[in-house]
Amino acid sequence: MNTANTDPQRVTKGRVTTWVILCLIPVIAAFVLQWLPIFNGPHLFLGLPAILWWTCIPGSLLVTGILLIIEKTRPDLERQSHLDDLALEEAEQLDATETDATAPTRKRGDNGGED
Amino acid sequence: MSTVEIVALAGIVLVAILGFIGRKKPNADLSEWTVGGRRFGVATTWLLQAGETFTTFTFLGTAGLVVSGGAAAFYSMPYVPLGYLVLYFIGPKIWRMAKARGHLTQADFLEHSYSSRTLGVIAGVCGVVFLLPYLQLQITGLGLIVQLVTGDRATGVWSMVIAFILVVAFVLWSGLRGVATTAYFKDALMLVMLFVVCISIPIHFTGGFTTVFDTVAATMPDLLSVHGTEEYGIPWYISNMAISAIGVAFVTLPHMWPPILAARSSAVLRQNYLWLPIYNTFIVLPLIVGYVAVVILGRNTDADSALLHLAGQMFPDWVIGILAVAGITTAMVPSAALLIGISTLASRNVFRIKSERHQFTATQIIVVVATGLSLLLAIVMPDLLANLLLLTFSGLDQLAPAIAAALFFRGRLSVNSIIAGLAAGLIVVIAYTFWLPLPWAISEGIIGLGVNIVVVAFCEAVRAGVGRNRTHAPAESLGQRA
Repeated sequence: MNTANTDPQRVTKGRVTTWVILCLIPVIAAFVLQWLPIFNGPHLFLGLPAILWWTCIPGSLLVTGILLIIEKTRPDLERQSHLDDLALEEAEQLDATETDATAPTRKRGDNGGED
Repeated sequence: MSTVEIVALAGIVLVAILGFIGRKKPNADLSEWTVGGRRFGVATTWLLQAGETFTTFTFLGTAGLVVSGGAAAFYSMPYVPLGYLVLYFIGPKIWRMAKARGHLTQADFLEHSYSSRTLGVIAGVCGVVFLLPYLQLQITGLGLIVQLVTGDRATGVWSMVIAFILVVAFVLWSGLRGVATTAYFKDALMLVMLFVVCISIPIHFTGGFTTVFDTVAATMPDLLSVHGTEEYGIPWYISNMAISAIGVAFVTLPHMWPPILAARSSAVLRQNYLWLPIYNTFIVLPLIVGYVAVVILGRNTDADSALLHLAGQMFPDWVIGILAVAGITTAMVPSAALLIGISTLASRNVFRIKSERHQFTATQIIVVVATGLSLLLAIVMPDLLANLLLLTFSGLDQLAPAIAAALFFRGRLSVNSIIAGLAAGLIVVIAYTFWLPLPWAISEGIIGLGVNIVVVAFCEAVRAGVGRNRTHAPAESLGQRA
């Protein structure tokens, strides 16, 4: 069985697909609608240029709405903070290694050298 | 001294004082200086990230772009939020990788991700070379703002010198913490002044927004839509929005890395990306002033001075002085962030100074040298780096495939393919910027990026064909887990 389906902290493919579809809405508004004269013509809509309403404001305000939906429905928030903790631990280990090492320079990762 | 000059000078000194109180004692540690010890919360990280959206371009360029290109100027509104759609997901990954491995710069991240010192040096050189003209632009913009409100070029030059001596001083003293404390003042003042100016100007000159747009619809309807295929046409609009959004999404500007790496946790970044798009909508205010300028001053007016020119006709001197201070802060604060980005890249990734203590000393020296050089060029030869500035965004965007591949295809792409793509992309961008005509006025950055990706794909196909040169994947990095 797929691990993604059994671990409640994992993000399923179905959820990722939903997120992608949601994220495409402002992208389409910003990049596609101005090819249609009704959304990008020499006329006003509610007193402002039509393009401002249909391609710019969705590009800004919709993004917040969509990201809010994603943030509130994502199942992996605990996992995210766990990964933060692991990063913190790794950083502390790196600091400890540097303190012990004779060379005072901070080494960037295990393979910091040339290929 | 006039009232405007006194208020402007007081504003410059106040910004510097705020920069100094960012720390009680001078910094002595590069990590603390560059990324504030990685302890910044939501509010500070917010202002550092938002600060890059509102620069001198907001005051001078946005309204001016409407005068020049009409509705095409609206491209500057949605690209930042579109970039945040991606950054919401990858920002936390970048933060974790940097936290775990002690990265301080974009080049650190690339060097470690591909285990390639060469790529680190290339990314560092690109960052320094392309950001220096951007720093000079902020200095020139500050001088122009003061010159426009005082009507005196000499005052503009003196204000540049005084402001940037103070910027260097507070950056050396407090590093990113100084940028953070000044960012609070800058954004508060800038928003208040944008609201005051951008609401009162249309009411004062035309009776309100509705009259402005009714007049434009009746007399200059072509300014209300993006049309055609020449400059400021639909291909120009879409390609510029795309290349700018890609730049934000993959953090291709190196000075945008310290604000991300300085966050206390990845949750701080996610919270900011949720709400920053709404903050970004304030950029509509100077866009509307651009239309007022077209109606009042005509289409042949000096585009960059439109906002300050209109304000100068209706406000008393002390308000103009405060407006100038708001404009000055939009130059001083991003410049401070640029200086931190440039100097850290130079000392760590270009000159590759080993000892952390010497690295910190070199960083401090580079801050002074970079500012001195930019200031001198801004005063003596303001156009010398102008051509290089054309490459800043399109050139640095060529790092996007490298950053994206590091996050999504860890260890699967060869560093040689990445470097070949980057080189090809840069050559194409340079060729289209200086010599070749652009088809349908498409952004040269998009063409370069297309070539960049094709070259990477070709090199990978060749590599897969000969079945060798497997790259060394660096040790599992936490940020690259799901």
